[in-house]
Amino acid sequence: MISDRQNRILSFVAALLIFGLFIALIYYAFPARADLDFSSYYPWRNIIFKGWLLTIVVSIIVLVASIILGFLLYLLTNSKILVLKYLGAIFNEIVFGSPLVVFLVIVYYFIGVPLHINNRLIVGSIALSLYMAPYMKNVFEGAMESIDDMQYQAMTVFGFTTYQKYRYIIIPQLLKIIIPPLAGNLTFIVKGSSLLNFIGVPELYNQITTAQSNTYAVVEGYTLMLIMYLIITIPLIRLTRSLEKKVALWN
Amino acid sequence: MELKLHNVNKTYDEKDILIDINLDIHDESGIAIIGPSGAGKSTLLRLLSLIEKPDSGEIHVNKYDLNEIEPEEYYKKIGFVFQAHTLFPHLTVLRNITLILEQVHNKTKEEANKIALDLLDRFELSEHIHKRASQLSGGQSQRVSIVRGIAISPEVLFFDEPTSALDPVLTQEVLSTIIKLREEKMNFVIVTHEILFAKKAADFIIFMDCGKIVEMGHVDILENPQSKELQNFLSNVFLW
Repeated sequence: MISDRQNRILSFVAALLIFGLFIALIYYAFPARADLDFSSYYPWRNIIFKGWLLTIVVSIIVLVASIILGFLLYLLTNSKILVLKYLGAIFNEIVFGSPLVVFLVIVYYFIGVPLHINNRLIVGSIALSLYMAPYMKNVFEGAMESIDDMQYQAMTVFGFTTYQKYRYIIIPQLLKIIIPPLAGNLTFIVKGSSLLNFIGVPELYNQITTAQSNTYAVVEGYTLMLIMYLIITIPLIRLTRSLEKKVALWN
Repeated sequence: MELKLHNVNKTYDEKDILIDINLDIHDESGIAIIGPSGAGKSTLLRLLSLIEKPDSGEIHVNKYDLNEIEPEEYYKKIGFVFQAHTLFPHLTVLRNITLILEQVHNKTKEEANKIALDLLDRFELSEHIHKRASQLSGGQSQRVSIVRGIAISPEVLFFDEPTSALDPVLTQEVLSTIIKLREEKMNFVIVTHEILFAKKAADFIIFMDCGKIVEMGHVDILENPQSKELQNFLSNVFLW
């Protein structure tokens, strides 16, 4: 008899093999394909690795910046001052309505160029952070709603001061609630960062396409790119799910 | 405990919820407020616990004039148990109790732990001290809420229909906990639908209907109701 754990591992490996075989079958069954040869990318390995690292660094910078911007946006859209509220709402609608790549290029030309921010990495991070801010705002909104009114009443009638309410009850719960969706948004940021290529940030996508124009190995280049993105995103997705499960236990 | 209310009125959205409530009760330790839905029972309880303020009138609970006292000061003297348990979901059972003792009542960590552990033991909840609310049944959570209410040694403990969210078996579990409080001479005011329980746990009954106190007195008014409203109410309740 095999244990439950062994069964799961074997099944997973089997599923992986079937998936790989299926892709290989489609690829090799038709004559119009090129044989895969990754060797032409070997000389480019350092540049590609640097691009990969930059993707990670940009994503972390954008994560932090967009959390801050998202919280400010949350305060704006929930403001009692109508002008501020509408200001936030206009920004939300523009972002939710824009394709990311268009938004990035627009920010580059409307903010980066006039302000003479020559560092493309900085402009790119600003643009992506601005784009992510409304998504982060939604995370904060959802978290605030998840603390029910009864808890607020209970805190009051137990005699907590406002500081104590936030310090011991509200913020600890908020942190736990927002961490899973934040990890989810980080995956979104990593994927979105590939579009920074369009404003010339030398991240993973940009570096591999640069290499591609020299090696002419287009399929290999994109395959490599996919694998290198998945190396970052799959652990993030798994992490998000396990965090979600943990948080579900508390409620 | 002493409760004194003079011409208390409360309105929500132009609807009169409490109309000229007058009360003068001395030396009763268990008071039950009963009556049909919408009678204003919970509102009265919320005024007594200063969760809300009356539109007009005076309320005295023990030596406190609720128009004068700072709510934060008064909250330190009372306990409140809501309809559904309000355990903080991110904290363990033990921490739910000790947090309030440490932060609001200035106990040391050791004192707080001792008080909480003693009480949890007395109410047969010791095995759950490291669990969170999500790992407890509704009845257990509500019992922990009650323990949390009495941990601060309140002068009065208020219950707002503490079993309305529970099924009959869990209701019994919670009600026996409250009866235990009565044996310990804890002062409490409870809003409840459970008439048989009110009979057993309370010394004094306040019967409300349509925002007014229709009849009140010692528990025996449930045997010998004078008003038509209470007679109707009791006959409807016992019909089932």
